[in-house]
Amino acid sequence: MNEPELNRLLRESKMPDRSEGYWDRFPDRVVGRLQAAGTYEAKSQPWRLAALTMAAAFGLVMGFILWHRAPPSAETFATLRDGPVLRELLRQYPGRLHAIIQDGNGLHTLLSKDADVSPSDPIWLEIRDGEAHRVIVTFSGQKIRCGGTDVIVLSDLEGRVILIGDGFFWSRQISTGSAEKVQIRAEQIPEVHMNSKPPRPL
Amino acid sequence: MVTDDEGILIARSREGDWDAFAALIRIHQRMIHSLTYRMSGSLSDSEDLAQDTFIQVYRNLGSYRGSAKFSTWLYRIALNVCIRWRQREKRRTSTDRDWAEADIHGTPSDARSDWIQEALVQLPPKQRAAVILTAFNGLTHSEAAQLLGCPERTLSWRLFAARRRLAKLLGKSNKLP
Repeated sequence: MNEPELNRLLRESKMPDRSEGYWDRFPDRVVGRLQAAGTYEAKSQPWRLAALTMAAAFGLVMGFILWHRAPPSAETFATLRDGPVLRELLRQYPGRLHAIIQDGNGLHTLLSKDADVSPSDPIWLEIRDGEAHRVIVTFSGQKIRCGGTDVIVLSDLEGRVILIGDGFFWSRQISTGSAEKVQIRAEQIPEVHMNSKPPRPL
Repeated sequence: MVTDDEGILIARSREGDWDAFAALIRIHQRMIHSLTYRMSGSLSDSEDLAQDTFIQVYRNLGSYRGSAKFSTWLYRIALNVCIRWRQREKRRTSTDRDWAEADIHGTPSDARSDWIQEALVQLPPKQRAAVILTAFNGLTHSEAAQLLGCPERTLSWRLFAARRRLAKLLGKSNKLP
């Protein structure tokens, strides 16, 4: 079979038809699967135990470098935001890193059992909630605890960060619900800016 | 690189608006099904792969920067989903059986198209993707290489190998339906 004959055959090949009803229902089936999976959920209990074990092990190693009993200092903010820790964790756990949290008890990581964390630019969050002061590096679509509720961290096309939860909304311009009681600063960390100067702590 | 309407739907989908995401799916579902069918050779598998593609799309909307056309970005995700699926799918016989079976969702195309599709699914996934992009979607070698994330030279080689194999498969049977 020569080349033109093959080209003609391929071009003439048709797709099987599907009914209009199929096309009408297909988007709902996808959305249904997403809703059932709880897209933003950190999923099932068994991996939580594994993640906690791994986080604890990692914490022991990182503790030599970053362990601070006192509230996080400007250096710890810088360490997290500048990227070496983040890059190392992303390298070690590709697709599994939900968040890195630095608080008064030290550095913690939240890892997924499977490589199911969406690749997106990291988001740097500084949260002051009463006496508690935390720095979190996470990714768009991940869930964190903030202001006593679960909130989803999202970034838009322009890199603006918003936090949404039940009775909670925060953006740089607007805070509503329980977000009003919390001091938050957030920004996306594009890879190119990973070595830029960190902001001063709140 | 997105239309105004599409940009709005993307932004709303990122905010968790399911209706907006369903509307995005409606715009692109036929294109994605076409690709997943060509890649899998099975109507039922192509539906699963199309669903997996849109689920990946939703979960990765945060990383879409708008520098490429949305449809191109989506297409790339679909290709990766299909290629990974083929790598996992070792039971080729099962796929062959699936595609040969009448599908409950759709009506068969025609004998000649099925015959070509049968030959197509016998190609390795990356070669098949190269043929689909160039022969069915009309992309240039350069565009297809960019989409598949490989050098143009690699794509040309895959195409050469794929065409040689296809010609052999289709010529061997010598039974143009």
